[in-house]
Amino acid sequence: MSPDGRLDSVRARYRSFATSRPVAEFTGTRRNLLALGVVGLVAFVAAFAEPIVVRVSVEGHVVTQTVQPFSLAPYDPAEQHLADRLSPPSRQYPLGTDRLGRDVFSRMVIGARVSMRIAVVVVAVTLVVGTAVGLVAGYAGGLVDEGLMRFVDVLLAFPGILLALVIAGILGPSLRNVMIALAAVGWTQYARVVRGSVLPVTEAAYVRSAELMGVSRPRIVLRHVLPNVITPVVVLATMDMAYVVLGTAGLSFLGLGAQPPTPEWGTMLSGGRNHLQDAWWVANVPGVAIMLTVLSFNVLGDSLRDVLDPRDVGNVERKGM
Amino acid sequence: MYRYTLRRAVTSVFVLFGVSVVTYLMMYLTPGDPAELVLRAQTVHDQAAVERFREQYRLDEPVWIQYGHWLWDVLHGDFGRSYVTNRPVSAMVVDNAPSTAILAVAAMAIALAIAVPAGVVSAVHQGEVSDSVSQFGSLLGVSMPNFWLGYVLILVFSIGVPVRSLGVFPVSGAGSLDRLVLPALTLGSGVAAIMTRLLRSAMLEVLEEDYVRTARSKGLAERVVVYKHAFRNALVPVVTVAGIQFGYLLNGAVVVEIVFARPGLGTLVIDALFDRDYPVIQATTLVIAALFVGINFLVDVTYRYIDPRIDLRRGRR
Repeated sequence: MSPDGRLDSVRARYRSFATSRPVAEFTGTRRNLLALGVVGLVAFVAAFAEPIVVRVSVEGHVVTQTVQPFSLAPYDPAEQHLADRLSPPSRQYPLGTDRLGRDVFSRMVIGARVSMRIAVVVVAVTLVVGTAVGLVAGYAGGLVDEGLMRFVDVLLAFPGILLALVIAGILGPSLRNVMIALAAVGWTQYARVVRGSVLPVTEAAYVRSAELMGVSRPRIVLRHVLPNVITPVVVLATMDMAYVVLGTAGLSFLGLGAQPPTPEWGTMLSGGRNHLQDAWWVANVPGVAIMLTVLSFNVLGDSLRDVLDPRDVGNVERKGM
Repeated sequence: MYRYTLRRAVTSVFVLFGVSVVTYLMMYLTPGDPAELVLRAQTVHDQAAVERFREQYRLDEPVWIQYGHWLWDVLHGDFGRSYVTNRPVSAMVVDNAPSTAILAVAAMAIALAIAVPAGVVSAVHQGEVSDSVSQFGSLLGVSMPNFWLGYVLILVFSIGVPVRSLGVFPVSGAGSLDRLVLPALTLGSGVAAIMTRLLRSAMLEVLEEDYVRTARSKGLAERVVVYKHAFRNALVPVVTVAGIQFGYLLNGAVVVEIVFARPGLGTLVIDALFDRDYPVIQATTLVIAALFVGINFLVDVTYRYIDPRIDLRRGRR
C-alpha cells in the first residue's frame, strides 16, 4: 500500500470514529458538562458569596444563627475606597474598582446571589402557578378552559419584555417589583404548554379507569395527570432561568430594577457606561457574568429538550433584551 | 382559506381588545393616586391643582367610563395628551415611530445578511469546522445581552479599543447612516443567531429529500442543487420566523435605543415610565402590542398561503 493510501485509510478511520454515535454524544456531553460546570459555579458563588445569618425565635427569644459562615467576597460590596477609584485589576482588587472605588469582584460575587435568588424565586412561582392553571384548564375543559386560555392568549399577545418593563416601571423601580413583573409575564407559557399536554392524557385509559374507580378529581390531576405532563415543564424551567437572569439584568440596566447600592449585574453594567474607555472592567466584568450564566442555562435547556424530547416547547426565540 | 383568514382576523381583534383592557388597567397597578403622583413628580403640591388635573384628564370618573372614553378616542386616532408636556400623544408616537421602524428594518436586514450564508454553509459542511464556528456563534448570539453587546461594539468600533483605526462610528444619536450601523448590528444579533440555527436545520432536512437526491443523480452541479433546489425550499420556515422575529425586534429596540441614546418608541416609553406619563405609556404599549399582533396575523395567513400543505390546527411547525 502506498503511503498516500495508508494515510487515506487512517483519515477514513478517524472520520468514522469522530462521527460515530458514542463519540458524537461525548462531544455533545462535553458541552453540556461545561454548561453544568458554569451553572454549578454560579450557584456555588451565590451560596457562599457572604455569610447567611437568619433570625430564629427559640422559646420566645429571637436568636441570630449563622447558617453559612463563608464569604467569597473580600470586601463589603458597598464599601467605597475613594482613593482607589477606577483602579485596574490588581492583587488588591482582583477585578478592579468602579467609579466609587468599590471592589468589582466583590460586587460581582454578591451580584451572583442577587441574580440566582431572583431567578429561583421567579421560576418557582411561575412554574407552580402556570402548571396549576394549565392543569385546571386542560382537565376541567369547557368554559373554565376557554376563559383561562383566552386570558393567557391576551397576555401572550404582548411582547413579553415590553409588558414586564411597563409593569415594573409602573409599580416603581425595585427588585421586588422586577420579580413581580417577570412572574406576571412568565407563568403564561407554562399554562399553555401544560394545558396542551394535559388534553391527550385525560383521554388515556389509566385516567379513564381511575375516574371509573371513583378516584377524586384533585387526586387524578395530581397523581395521574401531573407526572405525565411534567417533562416539558422541566425543559421550560431550565430555559426560563436564562430568561429571568437576562430580564432582571436588563430591567436593572434600564434603571427599573435594583437600586444603589445593591450590587446587581445589570446595574453594574450600566454604571460602566461612562468609563468604557478608561475603565473597561467596570462594564465588561458583569457583562461576561450575565452572558456565561445565560449561555449555560440555554445550553442545558437545549440539551434537555433534545434528550427528553417534549413536543410543545418552542426554541429559544425570546431574547429581546 | 378565506374562512381561516376571517376566523384568524376575528381572534386577532378579540386579542387586541384584551390587550387594550390590560394596557389601560395597568395604570391602576400604581400604588396611590395617579393625579397626585404625576403632580408630585412635577413638584406641585396644591390640592386644587390635583382636582383640576383629575377633571382635565377625566380621572374623576369611574374606571370603565374612563376606559370607554379612552378606547373610543383611540379608535379615532386620539391617544389623549401627555401629562407632562400636554402635547397630543399621537403626535409624539408619530414623531418617534419612524426611528424605531428604521432600526428594526435595518436590524432584520443585517440579521438575514448574516444568517443566510452562515446557515447554508453550516448545513452543507455539517460537522466541519465552519459548522462548529457558526453553531457556536449562534449560541453566543442568543445568549449575549443586547445591552452588553452594545457596549462592546461601542468600545471596539466607536472608541477604538484595542485597534484605534476601527473606532469610526459615532457613539450615539440618530439621523445618519453611520449612527444606524452599531444599533442595528446589536439588535440584529439575536435574530441572526436564531435564523442561522433555523436555516441550518431546515437545510439539513431538505437536503435529505427525494428531489434533492434526484437533482444530484441527474448530475447537476452541487452549487445548483444547494441553491436552486434545497435553499429555496428551506426558505419557507425562515420567512415565517423572520416575520415573527420582526415583532420581537420592535420589542428589543427599547433596550438598544437606551444603550445608544437613540430617539424612538423605546426611549419614549422609558422616559414616560419615569415621569409617570400614563397616556404616553398606554399609547406606546398599545401601538407596539398591536403591531406585534398584526404581524403575527399576517405571518399566519401568509404562511398558509405560501404552503397549503400546512394544517394550522396542528400548530406551526
